[in-house]
Amino acid sequence: MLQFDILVIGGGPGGYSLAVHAAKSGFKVALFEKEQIGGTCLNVGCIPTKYLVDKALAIEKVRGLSAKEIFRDAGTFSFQKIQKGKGEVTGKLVNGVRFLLKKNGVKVINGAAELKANRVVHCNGQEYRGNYVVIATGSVPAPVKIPGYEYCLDSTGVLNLQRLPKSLVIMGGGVIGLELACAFAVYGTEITVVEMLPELLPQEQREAVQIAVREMERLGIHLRTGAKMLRVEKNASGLRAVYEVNGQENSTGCQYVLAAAGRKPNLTGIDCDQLGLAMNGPFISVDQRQRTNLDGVYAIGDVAGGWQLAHAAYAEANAALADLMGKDDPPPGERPVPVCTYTIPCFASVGLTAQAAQAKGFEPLLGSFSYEANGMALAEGASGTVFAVMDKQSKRTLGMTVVGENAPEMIAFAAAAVEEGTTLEQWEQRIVAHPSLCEMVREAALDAFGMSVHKG
Amino acid sequence: MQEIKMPSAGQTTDEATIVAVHVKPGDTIKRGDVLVEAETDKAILPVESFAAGQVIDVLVSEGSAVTAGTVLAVVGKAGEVSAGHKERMEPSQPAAKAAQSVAASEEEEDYLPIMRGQPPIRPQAVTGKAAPAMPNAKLLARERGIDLSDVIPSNGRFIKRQDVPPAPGVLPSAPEPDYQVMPMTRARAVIARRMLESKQTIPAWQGTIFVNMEACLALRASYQEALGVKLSYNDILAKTAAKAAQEFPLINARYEDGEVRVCKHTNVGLAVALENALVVPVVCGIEEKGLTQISEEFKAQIRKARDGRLTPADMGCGSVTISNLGMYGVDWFQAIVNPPESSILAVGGIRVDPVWDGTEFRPAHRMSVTGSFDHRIIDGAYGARFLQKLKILMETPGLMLG
Repeated sequence: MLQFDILVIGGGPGGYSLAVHAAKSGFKVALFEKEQIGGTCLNVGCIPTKYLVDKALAIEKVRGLSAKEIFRDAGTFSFQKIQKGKGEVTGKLVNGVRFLLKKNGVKVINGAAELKANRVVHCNGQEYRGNYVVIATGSVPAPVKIPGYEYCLDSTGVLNLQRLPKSLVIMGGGVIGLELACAFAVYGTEITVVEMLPELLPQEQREAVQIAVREMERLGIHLRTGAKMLRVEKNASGLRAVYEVNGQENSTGCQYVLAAAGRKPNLTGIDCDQLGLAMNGPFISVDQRQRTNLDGVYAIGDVAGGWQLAHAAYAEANAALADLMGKDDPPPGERPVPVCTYTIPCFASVGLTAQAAQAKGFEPLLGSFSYEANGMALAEGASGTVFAVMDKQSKRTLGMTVVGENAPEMIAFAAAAVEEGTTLEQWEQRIVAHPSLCEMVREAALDAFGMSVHKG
Repeated sequence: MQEIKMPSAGQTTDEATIVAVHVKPGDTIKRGDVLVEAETDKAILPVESFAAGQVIDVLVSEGSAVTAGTVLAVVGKAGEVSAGHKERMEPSQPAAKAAQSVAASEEEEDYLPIMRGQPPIRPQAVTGKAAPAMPNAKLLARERGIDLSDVIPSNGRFIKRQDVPPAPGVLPSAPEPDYQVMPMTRARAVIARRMLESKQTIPAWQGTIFVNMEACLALRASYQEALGVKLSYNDILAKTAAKAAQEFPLINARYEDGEVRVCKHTNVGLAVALENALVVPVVCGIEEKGLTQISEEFKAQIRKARDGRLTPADMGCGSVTISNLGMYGVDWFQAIVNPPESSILAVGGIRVDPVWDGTEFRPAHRMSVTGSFDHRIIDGAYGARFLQKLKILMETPGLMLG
């Protein structure tokens, strides 16, 4: 039996950041990972997808410049080389995290961990006991119960394709499905997205979603909303996805089907019933400080529900560590979490949408500012719109949504404003560099009160 | 393992086209073997290997455009495979199986065009119902009397002005052109550029002398008889010009980078007509060489030019050019200065003229030499005195002995 201060199960963003932070604070930490350090995000999620999207954006940029005859020849590109470059980037990041863990003295155990009672973990035939245990096992693609599911690829499978597919049907119009849809559509794959909900991204500001949808359709993506996937058939020429729209059966032939209908918590090695671990639906139930019902056991990241985002896991890791160190930090629950979708155009939001603000009893004013009226955006050939949700009474900033180039960078500025509740007066006094896209964040906030100088 | 790169091919050459590839992966080569031939703006340049061993990979093919520094081939020890060239290597491995040759053919599809042939939105089929149209498209259709319901929008959504077909009765397309467009070869493009540059930037003036060739004819006959050397009049002219240039050194000047650079040697270029181009191989240091050597070297250069084997080093270093159209019966003509040189001598044919010797007309062999001079460097009197000196030396070659 090996004794540690903290045992962390899972080496994704939540797990590794907690382990490093705890080790820096003087704890003796062991981290269990059965696959690759870095978890879904680094290996088969955000980062590889971003690599694909970035190259797609570059291709779109070249197309635009060629159409304007600034470039005479657009040239050619290699999907294989993109895939190769993607592997190099993820490899570099994984090695970077490994280095951080090693440098800070975290004991990394490669193997499938099994959580037992009394904060004991079994791994590779060895027993480990911790004063604290942090479950950071993340999530895995959720299977869909339809006939022919075995013919489908999951996001990992699509990310590892070595040849560009001619056609791809994507089951699920969520973040994962749409990001891959955009990248592959730009590369030249015929894309059909089959989404069960009547609208895409229903949690987001509706006006912004409409802009994103229009742009995605311009990329040639066929969006089928309110469509229920019935089955996937295999035939001589490939696959056929059969789905139902308004009670009518429809089908699309394709080379591959990507199942991207959500993710489910990964509870491998965690027998909730035996441990007596309280659940909240499919997720491990936690309080505001990420404590489970078991003494000294925390759960962070996707396995604990909430935002399925790496940066949410980072925040939850901080909260769990603060709690076990006896700090009285405010819990992260109420802080605004920026959410970014790396579609083309990309999409980012923070705080409340106008709809949500109304539901919460605010009297929201929706301001907007188009990229068309921003010097930097025009110079870059960028397009999109910034939306600001302001409270009429307090004149505070409640939420922001950006759809268009560099939205994920601009949202950091917007998130700070939402967190501090920047008022109209503060926005008027705030100085933003010119020319920059962030000017539009200020202009959108001012526009909610009709005070934007550059909006006609 | 060593990369064989495209060498720098002189001042005016920044691009070349590979016209022949002489090796393939797996070939054993020694130092100095010709790997590829590249056509520059002036000549076909053989690229030799500076390394010995086995050709690991050839990275260019016929028609590839290359610049100085482009890696042409990789040479190394037998069996050596570089990481960067590994994928390219696999198909040519002797042990490659059928499956690998399939991979090789798929490899060719590696690169996809960035521009898509067809926009993703397809034109709609004719439905009888008119697609929405831009106002200017509607106006144009009304002017031309076109029914918009027959028009298919090219973007699949709405009719633009350019989608409206021409009015009935108007000829739909331009008549077949009555000319043929010649391919602009690299050599032709360079001639065009340089000649235009000369005409536009060099204020050239011309002067003609008629040289009594009796002495040169005799000189030529004696070389033939005594030494078995067949001199060309160009050889004699080159030598005489070099001699005259010792007195008038500006004849050897080049106008380069805003400077007048006076060459220390007389390097004479000879305009040589090829199938569909013109090259100017140079023989350097004429003033130090005897007529026999000059003659041999010009013959060798002309052979190289005809075989397309001139290297940039054989050209581009001239100080004076000779252009001779005498063999075509041209009596006299003006040549265009070959930049950056200051002078060019245009030589006509030798003909028998009646020459007044003070008492009577006597038949005499005469040849015209017309100098074109860059007035930025050579003024009228200076150029005329050079021509005068040239005439004296050619009519009395013995004076060249000093």
